[in-house]
Amino acid sequence: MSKTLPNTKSAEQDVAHALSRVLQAALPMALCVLLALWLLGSVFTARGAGTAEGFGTFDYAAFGAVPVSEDGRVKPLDTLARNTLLQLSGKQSLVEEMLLPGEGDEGRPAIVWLAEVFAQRPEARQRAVFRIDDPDVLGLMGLTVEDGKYFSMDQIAPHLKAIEDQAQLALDLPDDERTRFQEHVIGLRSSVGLLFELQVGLRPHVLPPTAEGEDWVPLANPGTGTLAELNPAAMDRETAVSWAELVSAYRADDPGAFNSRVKAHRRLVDGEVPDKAGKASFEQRFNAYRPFVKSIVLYLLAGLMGLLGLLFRPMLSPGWARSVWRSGVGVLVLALVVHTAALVVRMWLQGRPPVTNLYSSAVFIGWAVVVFAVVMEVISRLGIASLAASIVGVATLFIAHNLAKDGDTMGVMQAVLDSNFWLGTHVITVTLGYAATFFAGFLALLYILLGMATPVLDKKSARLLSGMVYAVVCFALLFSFVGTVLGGIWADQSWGRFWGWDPKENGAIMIVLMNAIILHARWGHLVRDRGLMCMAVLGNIITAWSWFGTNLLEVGLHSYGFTEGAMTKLLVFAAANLVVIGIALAVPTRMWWSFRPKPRPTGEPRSPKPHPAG
Amino acid sequence: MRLSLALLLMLVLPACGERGGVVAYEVAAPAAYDWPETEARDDAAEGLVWTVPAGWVAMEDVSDGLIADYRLPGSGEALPGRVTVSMIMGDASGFDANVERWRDQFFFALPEDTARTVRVSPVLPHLLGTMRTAELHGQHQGAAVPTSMLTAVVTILDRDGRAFATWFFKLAGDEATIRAAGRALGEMAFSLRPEGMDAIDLSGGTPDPAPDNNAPDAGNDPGTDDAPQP
Amino acid sequence: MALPRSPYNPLTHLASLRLTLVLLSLSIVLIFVGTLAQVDHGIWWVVEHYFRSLYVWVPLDVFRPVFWPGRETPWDVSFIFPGGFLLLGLLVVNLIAAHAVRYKVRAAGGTLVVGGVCLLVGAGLYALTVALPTLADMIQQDVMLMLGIWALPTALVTAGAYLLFGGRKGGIVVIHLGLILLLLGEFVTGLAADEGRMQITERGSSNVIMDVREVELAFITPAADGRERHVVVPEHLLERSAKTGEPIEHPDLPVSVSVDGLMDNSELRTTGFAGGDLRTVDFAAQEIDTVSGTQADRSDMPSAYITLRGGGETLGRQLVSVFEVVRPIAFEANGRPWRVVLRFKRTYLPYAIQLHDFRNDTFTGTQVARNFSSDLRVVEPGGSAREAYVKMNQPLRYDGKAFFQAGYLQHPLNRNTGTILQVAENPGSWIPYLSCVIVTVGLCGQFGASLFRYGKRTAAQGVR
Repeated sequence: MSKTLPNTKSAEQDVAHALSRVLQAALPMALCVLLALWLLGSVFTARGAGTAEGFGTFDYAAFGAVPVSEDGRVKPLDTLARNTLLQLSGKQSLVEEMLLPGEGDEGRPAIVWLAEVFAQRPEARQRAVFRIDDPDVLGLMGLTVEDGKYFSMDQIAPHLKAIEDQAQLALDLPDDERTRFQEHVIGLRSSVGLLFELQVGLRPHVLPPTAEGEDWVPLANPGTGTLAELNPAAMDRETAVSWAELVSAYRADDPGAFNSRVKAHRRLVDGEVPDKAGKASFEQRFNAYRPFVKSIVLYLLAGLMGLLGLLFRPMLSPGWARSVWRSGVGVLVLALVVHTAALVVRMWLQGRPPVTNLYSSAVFIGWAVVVFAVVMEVISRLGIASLAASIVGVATLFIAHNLAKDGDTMGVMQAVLDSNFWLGTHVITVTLGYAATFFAGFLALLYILLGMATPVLDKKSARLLSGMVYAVVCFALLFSFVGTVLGGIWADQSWGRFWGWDPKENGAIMIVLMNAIILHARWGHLVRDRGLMCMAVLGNIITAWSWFGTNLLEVGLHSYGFTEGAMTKLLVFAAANLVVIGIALAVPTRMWWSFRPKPRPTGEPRSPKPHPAG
Repeated sequence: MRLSLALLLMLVLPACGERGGVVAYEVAAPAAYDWPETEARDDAAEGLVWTVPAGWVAMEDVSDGLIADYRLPGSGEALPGRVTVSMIMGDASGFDANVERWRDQFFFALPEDTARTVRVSPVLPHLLGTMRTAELHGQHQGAAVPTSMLTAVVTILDRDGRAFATWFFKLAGDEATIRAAGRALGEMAFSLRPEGMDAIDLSGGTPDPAPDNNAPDAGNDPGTDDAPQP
Repeated sequence: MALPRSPYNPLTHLASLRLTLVLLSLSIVLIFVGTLAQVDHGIWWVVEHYFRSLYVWVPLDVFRPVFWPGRETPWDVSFIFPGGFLLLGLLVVNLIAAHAVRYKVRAAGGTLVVGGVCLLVGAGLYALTVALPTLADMIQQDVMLMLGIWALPTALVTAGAYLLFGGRKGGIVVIHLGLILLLLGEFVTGLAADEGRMQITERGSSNVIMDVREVELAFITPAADGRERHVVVPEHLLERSAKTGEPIEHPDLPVSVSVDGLMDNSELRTTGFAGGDLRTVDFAAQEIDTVSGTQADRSDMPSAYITLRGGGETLGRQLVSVFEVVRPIAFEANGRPWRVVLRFKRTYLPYAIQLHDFRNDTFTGTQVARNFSSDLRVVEPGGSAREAYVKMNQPLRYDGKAFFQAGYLQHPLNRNTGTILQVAENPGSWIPYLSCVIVTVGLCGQFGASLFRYGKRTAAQGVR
């Protein structure tokens, strides 16, 4: 660092100084404006982005916005295509393995595949959309794992009899006595069945009601299960004709006719159910916009800037430190805006409070943590809360992305859960409790990691951070307690039992107890900062258990596949947290890099460590 | 301190509380369901009419695939009797195939005991074509108590003598219900006629449609021949 | 803090915060193992052995589902652990001792009087709301109304606590008051609450509540006026007889009965068709694993082999079972016909509930239930009747009991439907509601104050 002499300021230096101040102010603003333009611009280009019109001249985007009813909910074909393909293959679009020779290697949207299925085009049978991992199931079809992961209907068809026989054997067993092979055979059979039902017109319910009291109906007769016999309920619906025309135009490979028939069909459907059609159309654009992917990108960017800002803070002038901090927080706020908008859109589409299943709980936990963090960041200006929030934001959205493989993320609610009042009170509060406990835990992790492995956690920051963790734990206790008791009250209102010691209730009360322990230990001065942090990290493990572990237990002892892996991941997460706690407790605080007693500076005097906010 | 000890005791006591011994009490059967009283009347669907016996109560919301749904007041405590009417175009895969399918659902109906558990009538004349009845007794899959079923199948024939439509009048309940209401079911099936036509008076010497009297292997009193009295 | 912290004062040790932490930590572990135990055992078994006990032997096997999901062979190792009652009891003692030692009334003079009056009036109003029958009934019906009614007394109690114990401790006193109330509520529930289920077929009538957690052996004989006399042997006597081999005898019992084997959960197989007739199918029962807590919607189906002896005669070893296909044992004693059944523990109501209609609405094209509902009529012995409509989250409250829509039945043969109602009776059901209000107010007060102080401190430290 160059040493400037106080009284010899030249005009050039003045200009340089002014310029750097302008740059410092401009950096966050420019970054945010650019990103905001990107986000806004995508709104208008989203229609094409996810549903690409480029394959042939078929207007897949318009086709994808056609509303149908499936699994009790009206949704656009685009959502149906993504969810179904996800169920069969674990992918949301046609990836390289599923493309046919001559189609290049650029992936295609799922809606292309769905159109082929409806039209019973040969491509639908040739595309390798069934993912089969189990070596024994592959063996049943004379294949091995070397043959790949994805298989087509044409490859499976010769072995349908064997699959059906094995599946029937397996279905006769109680579900906790089936082997891994049997579970997978049943899975494959239901995937094949799903494709069959789509092909013959049993799924989805494509024809909207034409009068009050009527319901959506499928094209095929559910009684006979083939298209050979049209559903009697569909006979007098105009949309049956327009749908059939649309499908046959696709079968005939006639883009012009297809595109006009899609428009005609949509006009009819819009006329019957304008509200639902509007929502479905919006949902298709929502899918195409991929808000959660954008949020992940922004969280990553914010996290990276936050980390760099923290690590290089000692080398930056106060002005630049503040500028970098502002940029990071700005990006975080932008991410939060997208995240919030997506959450609100989902609520509007579903007509429900934000948390209705495991998927939406992940989305909501991430959102709540970021909200907490932005508030904390504005108060503390340490750059640590926003870093923790970025990590949690990325992690939860990533988890949500994986959970989406279970099916429709906006599925209907079981009767007993179908209460917007309780979903809006108990579920929200208890999920906020999870979020706050995680936030405290991740702040504590950062405290330990930054304190040990970097020099950036000075005394003042450490004290502020520990105050933050304490405050967040207070909120966590409040939310988790109120949420748990509200859950009890819901149970009392629904089946007359306030507390039943079931796994989910137990998980919630464990979080309450953990937070109570932390606060009592702190109030009684039984722990200091390091102890507080270790306990807060322990809170991470308990919250993860309540969130996922209890769900995993319900599938019983003999579960295989995804859940087995999930329990392992949970254990790894717990072990990682325990390792951090172990190291934090093993290494005395005075040996932590940040808290090491500083040797008296002997060389040139250094300016006091700048705070990012000056 | 004393208070806390008391609280502790209160918490511990229920764990080792007294448990009751043998008790005796008298109970009355619950007040029976108040069925509306109904008289014999005609019901109509698909251009045909049939006469519903007095006492049977028609259900309002009939589930998909059924034409009519009646309950039989005062029948079987564990399994109240129910009569359903349904129709399938054509011959509905034939009478024998249907009987076979029903028999498979009665999983205790052993092959060697077929004569006892499944009884079918010969082909009876019917105003619109032919009629046959099938009676099954046994343990229906998943049912907790022994169950019985009596179905009258009316095949409506077209001018060429081919099956145009098949009507099913199905009575299900416990055995006593079948015994008590079987004849009424047969009469109802027999009364099936085109709209606008008067019912045929069954007391005037027309063939008795109740299956038991016509079944080749059944005695005259269906109530006693198949069950050794305990 | 001015504490009588002499080592000779036993309260000082009981009030120790370290003890609190140890107890809370042990509680977390207990709840964790109690959750895991539900993979192998029924939820009620776990509640009885883990949560409503003084100590519990925890088999090492409970950790299997988490750490060794595929492991089949059990380890024969257990460790002893404090049970729920012990931990809860010690926590209450610890809490009360802590208040006795560490929480001194700070107020004096006028503040003391005002605080005390607030506290007393608030408590009095609470008592009033639950003591007045009409009000208590209203509270049961409407949660929001209940919260509204409790707003004033809660405000009074909170104000009183703050006045008496000062700004730093007032909130904690309120929180702890609410917690004690919550524990008290669970205690009342454990003592006085009862639950069971009621099954009514459509256009049928029932006056029986069954508790599927327990069985009983019933001897039934006709009595005057079309009534029936039931002589009932409870489960624990059956268990004792099965263990000791001693017969059960009682003046009300027509015969003596000894239990040769009692199976907590069983399955049946047919062993033959005596006389070739279906109504005399012979069954044998076989013990199977009990239903575990994680297998929702299933219950244990117990069976037993019993021997009846009367007048020097024995009826031999016979099967009784809650499976209805197993017909009752019939015999005559002293000129009266008797039948013997093993059944889920029953409670007979003086009134009957009839089911007009059960509706099961599903979402379009799915099997997912949108709503279950039952059109009911409650018929009193005098003949007076009341119509009622029960659906998910909307129970019928009658006779101090609540009837919730829990499920439905459908007969496999003729598709007749029926309803399953969950019947709960809990005189203390309002306590958790009140406790929730009090604790929430206390937590908000306490954390609000902390946040205020934190904000002030942050500002004072000059962080902009």
